Amino acid sequence: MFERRAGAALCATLATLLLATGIAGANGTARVQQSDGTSQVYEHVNIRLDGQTLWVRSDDRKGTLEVTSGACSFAGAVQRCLPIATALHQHGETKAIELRHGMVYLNQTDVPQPMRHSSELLGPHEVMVLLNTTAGTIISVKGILDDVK
Amino acid sequence: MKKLFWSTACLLAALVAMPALASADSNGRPGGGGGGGGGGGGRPSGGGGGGRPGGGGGRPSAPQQRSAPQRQAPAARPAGYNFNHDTAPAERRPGAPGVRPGVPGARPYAPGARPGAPGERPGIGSRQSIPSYARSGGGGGYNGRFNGNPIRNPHGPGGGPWGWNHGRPWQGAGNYWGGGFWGPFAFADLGGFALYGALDYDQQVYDSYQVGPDSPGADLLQDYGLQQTQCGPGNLVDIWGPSNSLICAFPDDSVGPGNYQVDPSTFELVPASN
Repeated sequence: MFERRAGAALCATLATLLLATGIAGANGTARVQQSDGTSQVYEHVNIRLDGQTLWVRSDDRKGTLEVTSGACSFAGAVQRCLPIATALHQHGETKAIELRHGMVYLNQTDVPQPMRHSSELLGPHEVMVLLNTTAGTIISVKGILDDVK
Repeated sequence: MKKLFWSTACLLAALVAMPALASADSNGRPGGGGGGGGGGGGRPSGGGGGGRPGGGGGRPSAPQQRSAPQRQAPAARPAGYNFNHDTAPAERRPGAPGVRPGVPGARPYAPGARPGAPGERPGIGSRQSIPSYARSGGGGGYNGRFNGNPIRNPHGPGGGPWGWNHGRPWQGAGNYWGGGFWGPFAFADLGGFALYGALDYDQQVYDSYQVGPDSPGADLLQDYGLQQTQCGPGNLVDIWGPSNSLICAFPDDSVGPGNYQVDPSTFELVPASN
């Protein structure tokens, strides 16, 4: 009897551990297409919103993209903001990424929301970032917010 | 029999759990997947969120070229992002006080000077521009003369000020034309957008651009049923927006020709006195 309970407890612990380490957490995807045509896809990025600043941390926690935005307004239930500045925090230093234009879309509701001029829906608490840099790099980030402050 | 069942179940669970646990880094986070670009340290962002087993499986991704580093073995795992085409040598933190563009104290933008001049493409955030964008539009040469009876927004939502923005105050971004009220037209990139006429007033030239379809300004025009047209000819509805921005529209039965200033909080149009 005791062995059976101990076995069940052990299995429950393992299952909890699996859930904690494997399922919960970052689900965002960042795509970076450089001007030379190469592109990288970064999956499982962590997306955090602090005020009007978005922090997009790479899966390995080595790099974080900071997108500061403003002029936020609503198109339906979707909030749209204009990026003001972007910086890359990586290798122990911060480097500015000069933007040409871009947009940040945010759905802070609990239901999917249609986006204007798009066939896509923005899921609950999902964010989409589209940036075009002066170097010709196209950055897109999409995923559910992991943290909001 | 039951003992055998539980032993087998636990063994299976342990086998499944091992890879995730083994790849967890010192922060207790599983490794795997991410990152292109060069190596190096990394800077903590202080963000929350837990881990997810790496490898990139389980989530459908667009048919897009993957970077080689993404698929490299863990021993040669690169760090962070690859932005080697974009990272400027100068270090700058956009969120730091004193460097955020558009804050009071920044170099004012001369309304007459056409932004986006050839050779000047510093990017968003580089150009220090109009400091005052929050409430009043300035109104160019008509500044101080907008004291007529406001025209109420005929289709504006209720809820008082900023009702059109779900009650949240709209604060323009200084490095955008009109603070971004009329669309995502960054000063650094205005040369790439179609000029939509200009207005000469008191030896100043006020350029105008086509209103972005997904902007507060577009909503304003829709509320009043106004149709934008190129600035220049007389007898138009000249609407002064934030930061001395100007757009023009054909008059209709609700808004006659003349100069108006937008109240961004209510979308009311305040006419200028002659």
